[in-house]
Amino acid sequence: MKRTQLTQLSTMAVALLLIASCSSSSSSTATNAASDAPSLPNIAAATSVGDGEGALNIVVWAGYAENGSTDKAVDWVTPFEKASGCKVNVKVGNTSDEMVTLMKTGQYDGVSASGDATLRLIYSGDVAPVNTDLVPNYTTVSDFLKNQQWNSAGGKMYGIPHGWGANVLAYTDGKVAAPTSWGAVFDTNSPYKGTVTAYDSPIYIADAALYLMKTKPELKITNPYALDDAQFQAAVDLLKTQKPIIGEYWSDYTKAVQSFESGNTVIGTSWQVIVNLVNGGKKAKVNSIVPSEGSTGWSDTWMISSKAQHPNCMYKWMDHIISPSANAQVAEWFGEAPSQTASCAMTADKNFCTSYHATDAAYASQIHYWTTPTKSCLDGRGSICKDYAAWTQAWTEIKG
Amino acid sequence: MYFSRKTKLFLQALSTIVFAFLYIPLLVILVNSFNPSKTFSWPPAGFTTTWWGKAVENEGVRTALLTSVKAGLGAMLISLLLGSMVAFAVARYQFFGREAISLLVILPIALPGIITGIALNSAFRTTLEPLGISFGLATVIIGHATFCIVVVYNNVLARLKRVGKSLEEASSDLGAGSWQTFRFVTFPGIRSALAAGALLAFALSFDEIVVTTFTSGAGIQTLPQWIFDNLFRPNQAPIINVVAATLIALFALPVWLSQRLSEGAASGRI
Amino acid sequence: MRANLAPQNELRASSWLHRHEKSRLAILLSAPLFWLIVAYLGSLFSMFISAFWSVDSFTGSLVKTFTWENFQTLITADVYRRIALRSISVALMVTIIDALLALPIALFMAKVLSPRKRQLLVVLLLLPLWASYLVKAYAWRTLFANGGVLDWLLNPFGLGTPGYGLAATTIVLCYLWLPYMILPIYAGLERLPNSLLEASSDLGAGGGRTFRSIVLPLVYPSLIAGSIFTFSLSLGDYITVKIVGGKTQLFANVIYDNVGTAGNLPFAAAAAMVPVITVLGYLFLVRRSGALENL
Repeated sequence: MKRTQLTQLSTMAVALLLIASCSSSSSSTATNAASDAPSLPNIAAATSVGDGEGALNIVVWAGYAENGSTDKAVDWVTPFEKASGCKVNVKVGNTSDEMVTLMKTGQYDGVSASGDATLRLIYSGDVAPVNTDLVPNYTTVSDFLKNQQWNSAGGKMYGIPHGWGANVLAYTDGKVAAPTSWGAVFDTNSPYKGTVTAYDSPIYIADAALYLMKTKPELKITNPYALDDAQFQAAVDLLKTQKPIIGEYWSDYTKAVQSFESGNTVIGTSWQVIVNLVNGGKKAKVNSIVPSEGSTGWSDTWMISSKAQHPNCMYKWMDHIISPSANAQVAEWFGEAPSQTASCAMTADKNFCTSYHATDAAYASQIHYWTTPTKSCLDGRGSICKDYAAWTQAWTEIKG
Repeated sequence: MYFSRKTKLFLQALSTIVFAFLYIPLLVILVNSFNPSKTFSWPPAGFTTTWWGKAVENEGVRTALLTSVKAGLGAMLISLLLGSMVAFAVARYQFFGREAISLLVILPIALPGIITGIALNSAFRTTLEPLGISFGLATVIIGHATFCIVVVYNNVLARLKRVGKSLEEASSDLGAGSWQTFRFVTFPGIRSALAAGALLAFALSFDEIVVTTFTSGAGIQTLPQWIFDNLFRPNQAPIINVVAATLIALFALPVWLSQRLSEGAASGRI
Repeated sequence: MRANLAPQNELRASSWLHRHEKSRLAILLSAPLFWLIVAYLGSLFSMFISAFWSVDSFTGSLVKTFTWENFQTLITADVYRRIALRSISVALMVTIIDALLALPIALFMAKVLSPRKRQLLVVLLLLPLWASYLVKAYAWRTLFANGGVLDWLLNPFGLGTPGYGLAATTIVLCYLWLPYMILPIYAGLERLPNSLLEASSDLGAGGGRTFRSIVLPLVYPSLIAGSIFTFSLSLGDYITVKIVGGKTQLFANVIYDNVGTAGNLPFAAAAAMVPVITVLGYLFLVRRSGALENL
């Protein structure tokens, strides 16, 4: 009767949905969970760039696609929109993890990925190789950024280099004695307890590992992203002792700016763009240094989604963002080294490229760029290292 | 009366404190919308109306506002339809699972928004995407309508229980068809409950952020999403205060109206 | 006045409908139930199925093989238990504080004020709900900031802002959900017959005694109804913590971080079971108190 009809209907419906979810295929072109060397998905690169599709959806790091809304004078998106007819919708990703997740939805055409996102995107089939012949400005990009371990695979380039830089140690001038070492943020007896900040992402564990690399050589850490059990535990323990002095973990760059301005944060790891924004707002004066132990950093690559709905606009954007003028603007605004060698002649500050060592390959190779940790140790010790899943879980434990 | 003067004064004092607690942050928002400082240092150093001007010019706000209105209207209409249908079924019929229906209808709003959001997100991913329907305004409306059903349901159910069946029965005894009965007898009786429910549904949808985050797409931005994206941006944050102050002022009238509607019926005036 | 009789076809349809009560019911229920059961419950169910899956740690793709791994991690790792307890305590605290704040004001509005003032106050009560949840939380962020309003108010007394953290989060959550607690209690009190209160004072009871013995037991269902909102909303909130929570995490943040940032839907789904079971348990417990009718 009605009773059985209703029950029948509901069971059928739920069963239908179950079947649908079980049989649907997610991006499983390269699932090889057990092996250390996942297979490269076979995706073709574009062969030509046609007319713009009228729109472009991109996931970017804060400050990479400014359209005048942060500062009227800072805008390299509007000229692009006018020239190409592609209206740009910008989604700011706060961490590499967020960016990977956003790209997996398939709703975005491209992303400015750091080294700890690039390989994940490549091997999961979320991004397509880039046909660099279709990007004229690529020829004058710094050579030491081409065909690197983090932006190419299987002999193909998977993106267009954007720029690179180091995570800096920022501190408020006048409130903090000028530090020279990362020890200032790991000091459990810090006089700035409660106003120290750290980056809210599992990748920050590498910063702790980097510090231990220099201060505890007996741990024999050679690569802060390749940590075996003992090394990993030491880094995690260091971060757990750091937690009591932390005021806020930041991932939203504008929250970080506000924190420095209001005095809720006076010292911690940061980006040059944050320092620049604080000093520009004139509510506080913040200095930045790369401490004696060196620094982690990032080398960013523009990648195009394998499911891009506006591929032509994306190629046009990639060409635009590494054009000498645009790359100079974004590098100066963000505070990083531009990938475009021709940009050095176009920066407002004539010493910009020198102070950021933009064309210095030797300097560039010293920064410990964000890389995805894998079980197979990146320094060749075999499969004894902690993978990113372990890092993520540890990070939750650290924050408590 | 029923309470001694002492008790009344005591209650009045407590109520004043609670109302102050409720309104002080709102006043802070209002004052900050005139605060020239971008980081709202307190006390404000001056007075400026620049943010109000900027808010009007800001294209992002206007687009987001329009999107929110569209989503709200869509959610309101769907939940009006579905909520009344369930209310009628529960109020006028006896059937197996009648009690369970109340629980079912409440579930989308009782369960934390993030769970509804994640569930709908993965459901859309598996069912709609293969059909070519991508995330956008439609998925947002579906998400909102799901938790708006309960507010319409509650209002209409309460009214139907109060009004009773006798009028409807009399109407059909006198020869009216189902549609006529509905149009001339039932509907006028529940009209104000429908309006109150509709207003509440619109309000819920308009301010919703969590489910929206998981059900919207790349090109869609509702007002709460716009606010969330710009919450900490130094140049946009003051505009948010303006938007908030405007919203409060703008919706004072409909809120009062919906109150009158539900109260009016309660005292017998339909 | 003779009302127009309905046209023949309509009458025929109406009589058919009238005779077939079950068809009427089916028509009424089909669309909403399809929506709620198939679409909503179905999607909840498929999300929970994914709690038994995992993600490839490198590519992040879904691996649809059955595994208890997620639940094992949830139960064995200390940190999740700690966060869950923290979140449940916050939710309970918010509920209790809001109930304490709501009762006097609801009583005042329902029983002491004149009807016109009552309507005005209800409108005043509903207005903050329109102010946008995000903006209100953000307003509190400026209130709690160093050098913000609270500092400005409390410094003369030698106190200061508690800063961002669990206390700030609790206070803001109390603030946000207070109207949701006041309204059901107010509605319940409105229904309370004044004759009972009169009789009570006639028999010599003071305000306190009347409150304890008459008002409280009768308003109990509404209290529970309001508590459903405050408890569930607090348990599921991850945004307020991000705005005023400083470095604290609540359970909803674990869910959000895993589905958003970490892209680990299976683990997030497994974690999501915790608040769902808690809320469902709570709903089941209070079903008998009749609170569900008072929402």
